[in-house]
Parts: sequence; structure tokens; C-alpha cells
Amino acid sequence: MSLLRKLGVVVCAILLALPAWGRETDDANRLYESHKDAIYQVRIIEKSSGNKASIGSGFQISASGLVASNYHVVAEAVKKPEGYLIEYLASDGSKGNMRLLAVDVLHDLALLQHERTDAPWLDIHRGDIRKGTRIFSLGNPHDLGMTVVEGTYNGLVEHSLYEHVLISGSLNPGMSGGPSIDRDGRVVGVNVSTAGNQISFLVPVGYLETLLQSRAQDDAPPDWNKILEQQLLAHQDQYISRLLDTEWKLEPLGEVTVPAEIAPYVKCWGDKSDDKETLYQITNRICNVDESLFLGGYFTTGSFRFQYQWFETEKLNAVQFYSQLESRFYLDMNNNAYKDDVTPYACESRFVEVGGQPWKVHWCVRQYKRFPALHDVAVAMASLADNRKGMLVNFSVAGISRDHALQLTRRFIGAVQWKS
Amino acid sequence: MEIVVEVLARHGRVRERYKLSGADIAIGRAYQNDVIIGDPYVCPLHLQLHYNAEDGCWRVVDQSTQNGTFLVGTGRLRQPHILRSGDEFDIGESRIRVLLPQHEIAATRRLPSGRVLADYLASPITAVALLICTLGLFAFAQYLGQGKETKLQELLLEALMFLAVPFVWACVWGLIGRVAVHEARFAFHLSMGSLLVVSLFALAISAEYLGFGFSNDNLTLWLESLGEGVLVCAFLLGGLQMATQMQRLRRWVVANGIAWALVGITMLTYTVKSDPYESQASMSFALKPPFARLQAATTQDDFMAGLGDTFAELEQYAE
Repeated sequence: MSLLRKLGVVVCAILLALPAWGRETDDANRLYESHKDAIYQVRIIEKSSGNKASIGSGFQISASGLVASNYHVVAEAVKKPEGYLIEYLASDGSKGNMRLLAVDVLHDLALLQHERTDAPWLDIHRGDIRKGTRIFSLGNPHDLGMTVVEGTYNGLVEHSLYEHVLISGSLNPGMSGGPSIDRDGRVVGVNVSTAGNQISFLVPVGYLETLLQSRAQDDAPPDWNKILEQQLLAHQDQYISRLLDTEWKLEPLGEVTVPAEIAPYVKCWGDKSDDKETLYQITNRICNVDESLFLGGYFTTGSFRFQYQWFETEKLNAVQFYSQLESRFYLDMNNNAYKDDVTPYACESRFVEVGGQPWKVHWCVRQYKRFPALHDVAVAMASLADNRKGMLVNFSVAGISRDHALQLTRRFIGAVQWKS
Repeated sequence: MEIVVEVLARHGRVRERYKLSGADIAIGRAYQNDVIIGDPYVCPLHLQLHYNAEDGCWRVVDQSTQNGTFLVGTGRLRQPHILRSGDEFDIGESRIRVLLPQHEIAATRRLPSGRVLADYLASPITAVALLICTLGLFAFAQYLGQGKETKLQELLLEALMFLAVPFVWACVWGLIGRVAVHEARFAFHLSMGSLLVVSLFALAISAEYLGFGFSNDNLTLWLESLGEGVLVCAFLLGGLQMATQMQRLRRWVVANGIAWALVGITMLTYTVKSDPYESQASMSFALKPPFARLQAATTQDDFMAGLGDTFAELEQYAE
């Protein structure tokens, strides 16, 4: 093949590629230009200082001025309505107040209302969306100005407790609550979070429609605590019941059989200490739900975790061995919730016979202050069956009713079996 | 005629004792006196003791002094005072006691058969032996806390810092003793210091084990506080007895006062400062070997039944 012909092929390839590339860029540009007026920056204003406490994005979804955003964007204003205002900043620079109409804490959605007239809105995409569909996420990252980010729609996250759409694209803080739209400008999801490295998540748009339909029509200011409590309570009722009804997958660790991946959304990880200096070995297994519900600040809920540590020694005596276990025998806190959100723990400590062997069990519970029907439970257990073999178990579950706390504790402790 | 004059120090201890003969005894600051008292508030010739052969009585006569002579319990001597054996007089800033040779004395005390504990403790050999035992004990305790191969030197080095306690204890009491009774008795206090640090350590360990064995954290706290009070009080008593001239009652009051004040302050800071959120930030538990379990393990059902009370505890935080 002559050099000229080779060159020709390359040029053709470039020419073929150009229109496609140009079309996509045009898409982003065109979509941004035609829809930017429907996108708002949502600002939470601290009343006494008049300054922004946090920012996010939002988008209009009806002619009547309904704006969708994330619950976590407006969480402060939900927690202390008297202390915060919700404000919008439109693409033309105009500002105004917004009123909170409804929240869905489970799917991280909020519905707001502004008083603007004649503002454009976005349509919602109905029906299936194919994996690989090109989408465009809009929002205001880091308060830097409205941006558009291209990404790919990858369908629902597999094996998860909370439904999210996975996209390949970079969402950034501040874009939360903004829309992700397809080429026709229809909303396919609400920007919600990112795991970095082009892995980001959307709330499926179906939940936005559900929220739209279920919102209360009266104008009386709702009791948000009551509403959130009901949503959380119903959610834990559903998933814990299902958990209690299923057969649990039990796996041995050392000489103990323990619950492992008891639901599709529970992921277990393991490792073994190989420190040559220590005269004992630890085999670790941590199983957790790698998702949780944001309630505000450091307060998250709706998740659980259990951890097992199997200790074995040949050279240490009982006192030495158990002093090593003791240094790792503590309560595993599920989250960093503090005074505002939870009571201190109340604990029960006893020697309990589990599977024919004595264990030391510390069982602790705390209550949510704003949602008294919900609790965090944390359990720390240590086996006392052998002088040179032992296991530490930590188990914690966040956001659970009293009855379920008791049932799950019973089921969990009962599932731990020392092989005789 | 014979008479005994005692010059007393504070707390009633006899500093000097004179046995004198003759019918006239002179007491004062001047060197011609029979009893010379180096006190600037005492007159050169302050007091005269005079024996009257007719009635067989001694008379105490103040020599019209500037600062006077005071019979303890009565007051200033205005005229010759007929002496009763054992009378005490304040002259200037000094106190004297005058006794007749036939003054009754206490019954002879029996020597303890063998040496008393205090004598053993005061021996330097005991002090050194106790120090070595303390070092050994703490090194062993370090060994029991180890999860890896450790050299003896490392264990000893770590145990060495615990020896600071007996030394500080001995220095403080030695200083007090040197001032109060002109004797440091360093070896005795060093032995006591070693015993104190060992008994406090033993107390802490047993409280921890009992608390674990009975699944009761409050038990640990109370045992430790009470035990610390008793131990500190006992060792303070020993120190006070050796290093001061305090009367028995006073010693008791001082030792108990200091010991329980310390315990009280510790408990107070513990309760005042204990914010449940802070103390729960990392909640760790005691864990001992299987032999330390002093209670039968309950069944799961009994355990679950008790959890209702734990929920009830949360009500105290309701707003």
C-alpha cells in the first residue's frame, strides 16, 4: 500500500469521526443552553447570619414551580425549619425563597416550590433506559457556576439495599439535586453522590414521580420529624422482616460458625494477620452493608455491620492471650451521631450461653432523639470457651425499631455456634 | 532534797531532763542558774524552787518577772505556789514540768517477743528486698500483658518506672520525719512505699477481675475506691506514726481525712466530668480468661428478657 493511500485512510477516519464528536459536543452545548433556565442553585441560608450554610442544585419539573432536589441538600432546613431558609439562585441571577413540600429520606429526594412564574421546566423520562445511553448531568459544583458533565447510564446498582443508578461520569459536591438528562432533555435521574473515579450515582427518576403523587395537598406546615420517622420505620420494617424471614448463610471462621452474607446486599471481606512478631494469629471477617441513609451531619442510619475476629495461639498463656483479646474488645460504633441526634447508649452485660459455650455479651442500645421509635443497637461478644482460642464478635445495626432490635439480636446471637 | 525538772518541747516531748539536789533551785536564762533555758522571753533569773523543811513542801516562786510564770491550767503565779508533783509551768515561750522523785510512773511495758513489723521494715535489707520484689512483680505483670516475644531487660525497664512511687513516698516522709522527729527513717518509708504501690496494684487487678467475674462495672469502681481509701489511710497512719509525734487520735483524723478526701475528689471529678457521650466515644470492655468467670452463664432467653430493662433506661434521656 502506498503512503498516499495510507494517509487517505487516516484522513477518512478522522473525517468520519469528526461529525460524531461534533454532534456530542453540540448536544451538551444545546442541552445546556435550552435547559439552563430550569436549573437552580439551592441554597440553605442560616437566618441569623444571612449566609449560606450549604448549597446544592435543583431543577423545575412543572409549570407550577415545583423544584426537585436531594433531601441531603435541604437536611439542615428539615431539622431546624426555624433556623434556616431555602433560597434559589436562577441562571439569570435572580433569587427568591422556596418552600419545602415533601421529602423522601430513603431515596434522598426533596420537593420544593418557588413563586416564579413563566420559568421553564424539564420533562421526566418515562419507561426503560438502555445501558450505555449517553446522559448529561447538570448542576453547580463547588459553587463555581452551572456546568454540564457528560456520562453514560449504566442501570441500577446490583445487589444494593437502596436503589441507585450507576453512571460513568463525574458528579461533584454542589451538583447534588441537579438533573441528569438524556439527549432529548428528559430527566433520567437526580444527581446524588459519587464514589470518585468517574463512578457516580443517580436517584432513579421513578421515585421522583412517586413523591410528586404522594405529596400532601394541604398547606399546613408538616411535622417533618414525624414524616421522616414514618419513612424510616416503614423501611426498616420491610427490610429487617425480610432479613428475619430468610435462611441465613452461615460460614465457619476458626472453630465458630457465624452468619456471613445473609442478604445479597451484605458484602463480606476477610484477612489474616501475618505479623511475625506476635505469638498469636487473628483471622478477620467484616460483613457490612456499604450503603446508608443520610440524616444530617455525621448522622447516618439504615445500615448494619458485623465483624468477627478469630484468635489462636500456641505460645501465650491464658492471661496473656485474653489480654490481647481485651485490647480489641470494644463497641463498634455504627456512626458518629452525637448529642443532637441520639441518646447515650444503655447497656446490658452478661455471661450468656451461646451454642453450649459461655460468652461475655455486651448489648447496647441508643434512641434517636428526633425519631423515638428508632434505635441503634451495638453488640460486642467474646467467647470464653478456650484458653488459647477465642473469638470477638461485633454487631451493629442502625435505625431499627424496638421489636426488630430484639428479634435481630436473638437471631444473630443464636446463629453464632462454637463447633464442638 | 532532790527534784526533777523537765524542759518540754512542743507536743509534750521531753527535751531535757535534770535531776537536782538542794533546797533552792534556780531556773532562768542566766548561766548561774541550775536549769538554764535558752529562751529570750525568759528572765535571767526567772523562777525559784524552794524546799521548806518544816512542812516538807516545795514552793515555786516567780521572781517578779516581766513576762510572768503561768501554772498550766490555772494562770499566772502571783504568790508562791505549793508544788504538786507533775505541775507544768509556762515561762516565756518554754514549758517546764517539775516532778518529785517519788512521782508515780507507768507500769513497765513488756518487750515485744521478737522484733515488731516496723523494725523489719526499717531494715535496709528489707527495703532493698521489697524494691526488688516490686520490680519483679511489675515486670511479671508486663509479661502477662505481652503478645509477643519480649526480652527480660525490656520488661524490667518498663517495670522500673513503677519504682518511682516508693522513692517519692520515702523522700516525702523522710523530709517530714527529719523536720518533725529529727530522724528520716528512709529505709522504713521506702519499704512502706514498695508495699503501697504493690497493694494498690493488687487492688486494681482484683477489682477488675471481680467486676468482670460478676459482670458488674460498678463493683469494680466501688471496690477500687473503697480499697484505695483504706490502703492510703493505712499507709498514711504508718508514715505519720514514724515521722511525727502526733497523738493517736490526731493521727487517725489526719490519715482518714487525707485518704478519704483524695477518694472523694477522684469520685467527684469522675461523676462531674463524666459525659456519657464522651465516655462512650470508644467504649471498651474488660475481658479475662475463662477461669475468671464467677457467674453461671444465663440462657439466651433470660438474657433477652433482661433487654427490656435496658430499653427502659433510655427513658431517662427523654426530653
